[in-house]
Amino acid sequence: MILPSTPPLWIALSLMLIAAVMFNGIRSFRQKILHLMLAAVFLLVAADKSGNERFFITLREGETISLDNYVSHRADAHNVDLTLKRFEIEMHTDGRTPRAFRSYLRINGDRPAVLSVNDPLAIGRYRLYQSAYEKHFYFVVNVNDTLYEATFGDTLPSPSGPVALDAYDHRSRRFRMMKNDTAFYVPLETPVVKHHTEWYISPQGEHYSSVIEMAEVSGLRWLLAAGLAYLAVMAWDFWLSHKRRRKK
Amino acid sequence: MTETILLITALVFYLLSLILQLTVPDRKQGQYALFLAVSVHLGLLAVRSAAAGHPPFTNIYETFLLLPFLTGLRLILWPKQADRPLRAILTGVAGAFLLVALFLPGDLKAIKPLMPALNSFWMYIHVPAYFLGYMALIVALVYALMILFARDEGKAGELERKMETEIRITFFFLNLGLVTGAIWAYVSWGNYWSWDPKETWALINILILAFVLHLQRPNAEKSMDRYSDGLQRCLYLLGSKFYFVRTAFLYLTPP
Repeated sequence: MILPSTPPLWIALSLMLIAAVMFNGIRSFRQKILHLMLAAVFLLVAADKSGNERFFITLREGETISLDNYVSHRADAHNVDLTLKRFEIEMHTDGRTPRAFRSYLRINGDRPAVLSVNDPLAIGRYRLYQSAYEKHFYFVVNVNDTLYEATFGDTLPSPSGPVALDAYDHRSRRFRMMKNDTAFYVPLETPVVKHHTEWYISPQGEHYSSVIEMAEVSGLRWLLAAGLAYLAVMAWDFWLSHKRRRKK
Repeated sequence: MTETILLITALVFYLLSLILQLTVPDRKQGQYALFLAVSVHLGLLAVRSAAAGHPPFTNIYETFLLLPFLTGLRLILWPKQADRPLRAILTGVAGAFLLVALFLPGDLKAIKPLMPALNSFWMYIHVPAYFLGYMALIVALVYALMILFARDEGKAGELERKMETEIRITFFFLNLGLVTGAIWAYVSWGNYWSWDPKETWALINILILAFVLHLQRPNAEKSMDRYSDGLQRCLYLLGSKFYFVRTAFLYLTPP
């Protein structure tokens, strides 16, 4: 059922065009066809905008997700695991401007695939698009001789309860840790004891996360065909009108 | 440096062509000067493209180079389409665009590499479609202004028919640009329409032109008020031109 969730604007526009044709607001036969085709385009847009799924996935390098957790009952992308092996930013020769953003993926652990801007990847009736990226700094956090890899926002276990790695203050060169809304600080690469726990944090390096937009594309071929047909009919109509005027 | 020399040379030839068109009765002399201007202009675009490694329509400076070139090329390829006043005005407009390009600040003229989203086949269809549309829009605007100063109803009617043809050409190419832009956006990030400011303005622009096209009245009413009619259309077409200017300044964003 499409109508209840359809963006009303596109429906309203197409109804106005259909009404203009039906009630003789447009008299020329060619113009009637043109306006009805435009109404069809708007209806297809409305159907696509309301019927097709669209969502974002953020994948860290090395992380695997199952698309089962994202897609709805439409079966094409079920039982598909997606792993981000590596994210790459290729730069132009000036060293400042990116030339390409690429996600090196593995589908179901064995099928390699490269996703980049302007080069989407098809999985069933879904398409994956390289949308954005995030850069994370990772740290090795030693909590009472147990090592954890963490980035900002991650929560770490400690004998006195969970503690979040919140931020790094560059001026004082120390990390802000949050425990139950109370902050305490751990200097970079300096062991300290806080809340009866020994802490030591050292930098590990930077990792990327790839932000991938996933969209269902069923019916879009019809929309493309309708849009191009509309342009063709418009060109035909203009050409005939031009010829008629020249004859006059 | 080569670019600047070519730009100034083309500008001088446009100016010479304008002077010849206004002062010498023989149409051919102005046409020869215009041919030289367009040839040098083509050389300028070739030098720019070779230096940048892509066609010259990715920033405001290149925009101010390409649009007058298309206008001049049109006058060369279809000389009979434009009568004397239109030719002179369009030659002046082309020269004015080049003059603006000449005095743009250096950082706007600098060649910058393309962002990943701009590295697309669709750029080569989408952007030229808009340029061809804006070229026809300039011609339509000139016709609309000429209607205001037409001596009699017959001349005004003829100009109006020509203006409507130009508006139809503009309308077609702007629609082509919109559709190819939507396809490009869809290929780039999977969404052909997301109501971002550029898309919305492109739609407003098309709606303005659709409104102008729907202003066509039955013949019986056509003679009612030529001046208000011409003035209205000038304003609408200027509204569309505003979109071109703001797009030119924001051109580095993808579709």
